[in-house]
Amino acid sequence: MYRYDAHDQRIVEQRAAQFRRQVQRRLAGEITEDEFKPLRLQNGLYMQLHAYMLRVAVPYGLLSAAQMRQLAHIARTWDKGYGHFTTRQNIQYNWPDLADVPAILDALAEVQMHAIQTSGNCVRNVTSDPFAGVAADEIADPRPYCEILRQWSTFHPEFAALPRKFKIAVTGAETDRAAVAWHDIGLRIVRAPDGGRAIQVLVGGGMGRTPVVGKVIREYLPEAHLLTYTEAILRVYNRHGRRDNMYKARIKILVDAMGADAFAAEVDAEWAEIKDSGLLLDGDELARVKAHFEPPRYTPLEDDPSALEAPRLMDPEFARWLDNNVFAHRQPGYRIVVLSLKNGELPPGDATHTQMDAVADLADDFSMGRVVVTHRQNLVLPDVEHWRLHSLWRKLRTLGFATPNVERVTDVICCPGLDYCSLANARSIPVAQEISQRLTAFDTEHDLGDLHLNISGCINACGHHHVGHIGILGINKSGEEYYQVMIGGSNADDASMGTVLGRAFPRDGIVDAVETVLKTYVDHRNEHERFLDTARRIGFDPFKEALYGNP
Amino acid sequence: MPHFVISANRTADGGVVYLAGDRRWTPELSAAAAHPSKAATRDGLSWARTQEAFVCDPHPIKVKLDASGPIPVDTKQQIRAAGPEATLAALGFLGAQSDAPFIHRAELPADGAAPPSITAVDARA
Ligand code: SF4
Repeated sequence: MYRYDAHDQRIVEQRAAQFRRQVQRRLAGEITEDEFKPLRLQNGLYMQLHAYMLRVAVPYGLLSAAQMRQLAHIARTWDKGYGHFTTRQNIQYNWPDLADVPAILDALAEVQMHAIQTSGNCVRNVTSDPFAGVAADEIADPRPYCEILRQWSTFHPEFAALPRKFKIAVTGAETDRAAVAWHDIGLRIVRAPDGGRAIQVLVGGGMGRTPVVGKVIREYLPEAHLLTYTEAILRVYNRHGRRDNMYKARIKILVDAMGADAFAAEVDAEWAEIKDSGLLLDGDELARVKAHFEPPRYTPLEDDPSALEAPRLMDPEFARWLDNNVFAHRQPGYRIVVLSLKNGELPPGDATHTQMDAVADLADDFSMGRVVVTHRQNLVLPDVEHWRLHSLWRKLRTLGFATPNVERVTDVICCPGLDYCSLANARSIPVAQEISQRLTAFDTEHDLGDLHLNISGCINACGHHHVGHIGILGINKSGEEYYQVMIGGSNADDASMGTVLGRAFPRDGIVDAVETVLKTYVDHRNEHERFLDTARRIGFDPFKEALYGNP
Repeated sequence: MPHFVISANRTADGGVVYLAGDRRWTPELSAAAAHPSKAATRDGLSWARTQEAFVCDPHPIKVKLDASGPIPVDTKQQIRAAGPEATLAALGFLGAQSDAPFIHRAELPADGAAPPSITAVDARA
């Protein structure tokens, strides 16, 4: 993985020192909250309902075991003993005292981490495929491209005050696991017609108040132009994006207003100006960054599925875990293991400091010291030798991270909602937990298969409700929590937006409503048909009728 | 009939506080001063806004009064008063205020005087 050079290290240390002085001045009453707020936001520090919240960047979701241990240390020392992994592959601490935040930033800097650009109208943490570098269907490892973008965007003076926040996702695999069509810029590494590699560029995707699927504006961008072309897009957005109305300020609104073709033409004109600038990536620079992501030294292994037949037969729970939580690896004899942070006890995505420490140990013991945070709020051990899976599973079970539910109905994506978030309309965590408790048995009985259930506590859509096969959106009706149900969304290659089925349900009716939707699916599905495919085939009427009766 | 209390978040840790009758910030909603209308919170709010070093974003919240004191009308304010249940309950915490017994006192300013001095006692120390 990428290791900071002296320059990287110096800028995060200097930023932590600068913020220490700013905090001291705030606590001494020398600056007002209005003056302090933009300074704290530039360092990922929000004020939430009950406390400050610090959002720490995990570049493209990748952590070393040492970094995971440091995150545990921070949770234990300066927070209430846990952290929350987010849908943007970051981690949030919900209870830091203001005076402690500089010490937390110092601790992050010690392990080459920071909280810079995790808030504000700038380029945010670049996200990627959680299976990057190990996926069996990968054309190229997307992480060097992510890292180049991270270095380019960090403290980029021209893009420190964009019209709105800006999110970039990169994937290098045939299957999109990074939801590239739902980002301000989505980049897909593809095979070019000449047999080489190129980058397909999408712009203007996003969720929130106005969900839009991104549009392809360039099919085959030479990789040397990653930065020249991205910079051209940002310049066009920075010039024309609306600053008069924050609800219309995202690039998706601009692309929609101009039309994708006109937007692309303007980007091309800008690009022509800077195509040969110093941002052009020469072979040396690409090679320098790519060298950090060389595959580890894998042990040559035979791929022998029969090695696991005995424990699979003896233990149905282990068999279920193998089927749901273990994925193909590009290297023979290795597997990718997803640790489910959805066991129904803690909120989705939460992990205690002891769990984080234990995951770091497991990463060292089983996965060459690496862990990845997924946008589904789970963790990944990317490099596990297949013959050790049973032993790993036993340890994960003790830890509470072996629930065999990855990409099933109880693997709920869930934002912090009204339990923490000052923007929320409704709680999402208790709804997710209740759904988990109610539907685990239903899933086992009916084998609901691949089913994404996503919950957001408000229209900002941090819980990705628009793209859930079933999406739930918390709304506020006269100060009370209500929930809309939508179905038919997808963030994968068949990207689509969910459709709201009808009037919203109160807090005590929403879990029943979800169960009704699932029963309707079970009644109508063909053999082995996913929920999403059934919903697309039969349409929404049977679901509406089951929920609301005949009009 | 709705009443109003003044609430804010502490600068030190973001904790939820309410303004009591003696211009003391308290984490206990039951100790907050209730005003019969939003207009009646005006003086308290103007004073609260002079407490920048100590609290952020003072604002009025709508409550109803019962025997135990003010109860927020809005779900958001109820949760703000009670703390998040989920994670904290699973970890053995009882609620937002249970382990944060900060007691902060501000003296009443004399007319035209500079903002009051503030003493903060951290009961966790
Ligand atoms: S979706 Fe809304 S409630 Fe949920 S975390 Fe985002 S802003 Fe907060």
